[in-house]
Amino acid sequence: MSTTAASAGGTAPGRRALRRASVTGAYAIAGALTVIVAWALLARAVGNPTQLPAPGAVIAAIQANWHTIPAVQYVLFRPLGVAAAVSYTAVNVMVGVALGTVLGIVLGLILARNRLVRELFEGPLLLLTTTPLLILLPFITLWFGTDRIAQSMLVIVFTMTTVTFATKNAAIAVAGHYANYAACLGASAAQTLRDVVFPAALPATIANVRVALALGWGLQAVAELLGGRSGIGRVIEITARQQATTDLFAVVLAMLVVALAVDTAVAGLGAVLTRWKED
Amino acid sequence: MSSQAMTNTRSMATSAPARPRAAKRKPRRKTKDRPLMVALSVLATLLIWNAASLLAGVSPITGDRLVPGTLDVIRSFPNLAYYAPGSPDALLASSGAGTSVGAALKSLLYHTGVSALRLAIGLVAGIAIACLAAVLISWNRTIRRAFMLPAQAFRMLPLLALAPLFGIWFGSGQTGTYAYLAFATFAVMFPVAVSAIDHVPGYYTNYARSLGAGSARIYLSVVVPAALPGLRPGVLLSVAFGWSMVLAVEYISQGNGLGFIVSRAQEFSQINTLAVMGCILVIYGRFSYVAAARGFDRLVRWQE
Repeated sequence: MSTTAASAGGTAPGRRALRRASVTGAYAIAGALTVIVAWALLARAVGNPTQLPAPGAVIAAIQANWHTIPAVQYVLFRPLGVAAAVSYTAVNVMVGVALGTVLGIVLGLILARNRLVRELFEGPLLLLTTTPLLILLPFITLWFGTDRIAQSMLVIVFTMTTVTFATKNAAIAVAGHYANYAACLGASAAQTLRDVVFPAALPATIANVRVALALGWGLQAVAELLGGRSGIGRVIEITARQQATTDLFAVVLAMLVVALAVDTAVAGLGAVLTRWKED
Repeated sequence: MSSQAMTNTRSMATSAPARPRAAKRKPRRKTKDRPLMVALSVLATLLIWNAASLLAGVSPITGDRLVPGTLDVIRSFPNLAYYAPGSPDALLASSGAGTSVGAALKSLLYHTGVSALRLAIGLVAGIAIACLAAVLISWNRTIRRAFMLPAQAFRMLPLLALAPLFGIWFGSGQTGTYAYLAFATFAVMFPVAVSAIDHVPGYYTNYARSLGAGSARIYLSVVVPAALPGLRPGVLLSVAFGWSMVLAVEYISQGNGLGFIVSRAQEFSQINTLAVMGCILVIYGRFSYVAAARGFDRLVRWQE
């Protein structure tokens, strides 16, 4: 098949993007290798796998513990492997971030569009953004037990507060100029919200979703550690108690890989959704 | 913990252009209404809180309200006296035996001091190490770009859950607590510091070079100071996140501090004491955030 001149012209930016991605990928691999080498040298210097296991041993542990971690099975009387623990946490984090994002966007748009609601509830919501969220955990456990959705509550609250203010700030920034412009062109309030305000708030929202996603893994893990039935937090708690450091590192490393993959996917989705944005 | 800092910065960076000057001017009525609206906001919050308290009912085990109301919180404050060092046992707080507000205040001050000291040491050490590492790494553009992925990965570590690991490394003493807090702060701060240096405008360097400055001098006298304002979101996030980290480490492995009170109160199902601690931590969190923001703004008041 022959390529037309137009399509040939169209592939030039694509090729440039591919080259840029390759260079970034090469840098990322070099950085990751440097950290792994430094870790291996440190582990050799320490010489005690209970203190610091070598990277090779940790990768082998991921493979060996994929379906069952013996140290965890010994305590729980049921098999729990790296795959199950990481997928449990990952699903909880993603569901939590998704719910928090939807709530945050809705709340942010309401705060931006309604002055009375903003004046009444912005203060308490702002207070929530600086509250140490861990204090909510005992209440969540008391009120909702250790259900899966209750475990994600910290992630939901954190994402919601983060996204609410990002959406609100961005929506207010465009509310005057662009909204008036749209109104002059005959757009209704609903159209302005859907076609002007919401898209304009999207870049800030996505950036904050990524922040929430990054810190969400820690919130989810600590919720599992302090009262969960599964997930990486539970595995970290049990393996630390049994000083099975290699198993602990294995589950954390596996989670990191998944977290990076999820973050890359969200960043990619964000780039597609906001492809209209000027650099 | 949270992300007001990140929200502010990111939204500034990515949101649509600012409104025209005329639109920015606040109407006079808004300023006049402000105290009234704040009072209404506080009233609405108290109303919703107490309505939730009444609707949620009481615990069948302890007889306490499942959502403690404002009066429950005020009445339970003296219970903090049972957590004073050398006090018989937190379990007494459940028996309803009263104690003085003064003793409770003394106990609260003690535990606040312990937690604040841990937080301060962890924050200072973590921020200092992160900034130093970022300055060393960012010297060379290739090295900086190579470390972007590890820095990104650091951000995603389940930091709050890693406290037990530091228990294995350092035992349950203070060294492990400080090391954990410093490490967690480092993980939050390092990517922000690297990014701040990366975002220093190129024309600063070119301008200094055209005036005859050498590479080392440009880096230390131009690039590093110019990156300082960019550290603000990281510092504020570290302060806000720091309280959660202190709570986590004290909850898991320490015999004093605010996290210890939370852990004991949960153990004995003292919902009212938990609510008191919740209110106290909301105030501490907000106060330290505002103090850090003002302190940082003062530090970089030279910026345009």
